[in-house]
This record gives sequence, structure tokens and C-alpha cells, in this order.
Amino acid sequence: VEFAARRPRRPSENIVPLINVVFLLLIFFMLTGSLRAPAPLEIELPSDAEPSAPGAVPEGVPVLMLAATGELALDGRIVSPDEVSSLLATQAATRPSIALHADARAPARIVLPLLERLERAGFEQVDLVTDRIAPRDP
Amino acid sequence: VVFEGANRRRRVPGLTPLIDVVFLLLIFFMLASRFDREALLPLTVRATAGVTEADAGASAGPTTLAVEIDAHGEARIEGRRVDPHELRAAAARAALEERPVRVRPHPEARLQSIVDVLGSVARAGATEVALEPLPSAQPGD
Repeated sequence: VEFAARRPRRPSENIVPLINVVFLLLIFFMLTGSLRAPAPLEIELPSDAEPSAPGAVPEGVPVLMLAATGELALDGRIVSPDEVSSLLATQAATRPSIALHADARAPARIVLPLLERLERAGFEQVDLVTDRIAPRDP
Repeated sequence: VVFEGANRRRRVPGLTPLIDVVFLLLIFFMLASRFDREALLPLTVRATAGVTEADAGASAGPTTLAVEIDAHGEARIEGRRVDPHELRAAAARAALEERPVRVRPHPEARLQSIVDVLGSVARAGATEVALEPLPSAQPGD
């Protein structure tokens, strides 16, 4: 009789701490991770072990993506090289800064002309987004 | 007795869908969150493919420190391969003498090697750093 009375209680007693842990994990992932729309291009950011200016892309700054093959995407939308110039010119008129998500494998013959185009379009500040490796204390 | 039993039972099935939903949310956030930490590296470009070093030196006054990056991603100063320590030392000297630093990557040099060089030059304290294209024809004497 005793065993029969105890058994039904057990599942609920075990579940409560489980829910606590799962809630904690849920809150942890919600707070630490950042949700972002999937990138239209596959980009492997260059790593910079000791960045002199750590920080995220400020809100409202347009993000230009450059794949290793030279494909471009502006604010999550794939654009053709011809299209991008006019788009950039209108962007530069409102705010002269831009963030560049460029693939680490992109060669300079693609990156440098693009940077020159950005400068000619009127962007005064071009920030290259790099992947920061967690600094380890010696 | 019947009501008590019914109340007690109701509590347990009520938790299960809640846990299901919480687990689903947990899995969603685990998969959708991104944890990569990003940093920004400001870039300055001098779109002066035609200007030779002599022209730049004559107009700017102090001679520039030119760091070239070859096709394999190795940094070179005056044609000699330099390791990151030498590069840092050279950039620190240029920063002390207030000489501008010009980074000239080979067309086939990968962006990662450019970031490596720009990073060590910036950490050495050089403030006036600019990227410029490698002159295709090396200017003669």
C-alpha cells in the first residue's frame, strides 16, 4: 500500500527541478545569444586576435557583404555590382559610414576596388567586421 | 475524496505541455542564437594607383613606411620578408617618427593576411594607416 501511494507523486517531484534547469538554460540562451537573420551569402569572417576597437556594428549602419567569389549583398539582399553603386550613393548621402562583412578568403583584387568604390560613393568611415577570438589571460 | 484525487491528478498533466513548449523554445534559441563575437577594424583606402612613392614623399614630407603583402600573405618591408614581431617593431618605429604606414597587398593576397598586417600595425600604435594598391610596375630610381 505504501509503495502504491508513493509512486504517482514521484514524476511531478522530479520534473520541477528539471523545469528549473531548462528555464535557466532558456534564459541563458535568450540573453547571451543574438538572433539574426541568416546571411544571404556564405561568409567566413577574418579573425583578429587582439582587436584594437572591439564592438558591434552600430544600429542603423548599412551592412555590405562580400563573399570570397565577389558576390555582394547589401542589408541582407543580394545585389548585382551595377546595382550596388546607386544604392550605396543614396546610403552614403544619409549616413557616411558602412560596415563590411567580407570573407577572409577574398583576394585583394576584389577587396581593394570595392573599398575604393565605397570611398568614391561618399563613405567616410568603412569598418571591416572581424571575428574576435576570446582573449586568454597568460 | 473524489474531488481531491481529481485535483491532484490535474496538476501533473498540466506541467507536461509546459515543459514541451519550454524545451522547444530552448532548442529554438540554442539553434538560432549566434555567439560569435565581432570587432570592427576601421579601414582607410588611398585610391591612388598612379601616385608613386616619390610623389607621395615629396608632398607629404615624412617618408612612408610601405608594408607589402605578397601573394602568399607574407608581409614584406622593402622587399624583405618580416615576421609579425619585426613588423610590429617597424610599425612602432614609424609611429614614433609619425611616419604614415601604407599597406600594399598583392592582388592575390587574402583578406585574412591584410587583417593580420593591419592589426599588428594598429597595435604597434601607428595611427595613420592606409591601404593602397600595389603598384603593378615598380617605380624605378
